[in-house]
Amino acid sequence: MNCLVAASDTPALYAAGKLDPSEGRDFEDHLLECAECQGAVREAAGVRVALRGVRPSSRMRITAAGALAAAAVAVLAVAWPRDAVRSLGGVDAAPEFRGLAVRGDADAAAALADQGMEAYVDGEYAAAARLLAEAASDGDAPPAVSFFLGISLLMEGEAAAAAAALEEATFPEGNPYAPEARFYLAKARLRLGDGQGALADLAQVPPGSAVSTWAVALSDSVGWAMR
Amino acid sequence: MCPNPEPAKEIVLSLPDSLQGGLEIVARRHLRDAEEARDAVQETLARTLDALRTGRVPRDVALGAYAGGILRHVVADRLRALGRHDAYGQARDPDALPTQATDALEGLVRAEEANRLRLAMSRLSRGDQGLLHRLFVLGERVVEVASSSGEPADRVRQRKHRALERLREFLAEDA
Repeated sequence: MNCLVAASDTPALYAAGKLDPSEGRDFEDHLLECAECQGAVREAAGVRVALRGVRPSSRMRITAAGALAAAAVAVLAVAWPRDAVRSLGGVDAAPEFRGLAVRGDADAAAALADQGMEAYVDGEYAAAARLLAEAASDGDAPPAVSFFLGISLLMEGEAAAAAAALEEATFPEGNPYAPEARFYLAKARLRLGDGQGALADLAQVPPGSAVSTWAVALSDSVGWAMR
Repeated sequence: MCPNPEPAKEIVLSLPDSLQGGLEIVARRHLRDAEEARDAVQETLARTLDALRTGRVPRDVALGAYAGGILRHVVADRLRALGRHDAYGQARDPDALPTQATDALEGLVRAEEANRLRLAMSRLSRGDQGLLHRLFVLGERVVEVASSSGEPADRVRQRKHRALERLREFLAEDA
């Protein structure tokens, strides 16, 4: 076994539903291209069946040829409903905060930002949004504060306010939060039903950034939903 | 976007084998329904192939991550259509959260395999069965088992490894 993830607890935790959404999403990105992890998840599913005595499915596994044949039909049959654009604005897991100071100066705003980020890490997005908004109220918030404020608002369903904060986080151009801010700004616009605005933001996510592949896929899905 | 039919053609030929297994697992995990999952995978493959054919996927994009992104959107749309997510793609109730969606993965195991697995499992010691139950059914981490049993984590990891090895050996004997 060459994959360290496949040899770890992760596949079993995934099969048992014990990874948090952020861990689960990261693992799934890896799983899609790792045959060893796919094998480990299947083995974990088998162990669960054997131990729980659950009656398994007798459905035949989907064959590649069958999938391709059906895919040709499916691509013609897909019809996304009108509110599909809004549903693409969902965010199942907020971006991880890696513990760097979001506001450098040791002042009152920095203390508020720190408290806000503690709330963010705990998943208390309403409190995080309130504290980060206070930290940003001097009108000179660094991109990090605007970014996490925008995400907190997005997680709280405040799409319009989130869009405003995330737009702030895209400035100055080239700041390290700008690519992700563009991506989540697109999510906020989608929630507001603004598919064209979302596409414009996604087009500005630079290639090679952490969210560039998600941006390409989301852009594609928005295009489909708007057809 | 740079239409480039030559590399796309190569990828199209290898696409189902390289991605389908992973897509099937992820789709089952979230949708909890084999038929819904199959449809979602097929729709994802269809759209990925269509994107490749029309050159909508840039060359520097990892195809697995791209297809995974598409699958998430397809799944979100189906969850919304099934009434398990609201119009904004957020879970409507805790039962709809992906972390609860575990049973569908057991459908990855075919009936004949399950019978052989149960037989092989019954040949393991109670200790091995108990350990595997904690790790695979209850979803405890190795360090949690080690902490509660007072064993070093490495020893628990070895016991898990050996229990799985024995299970595979019993399965091989039965084959």
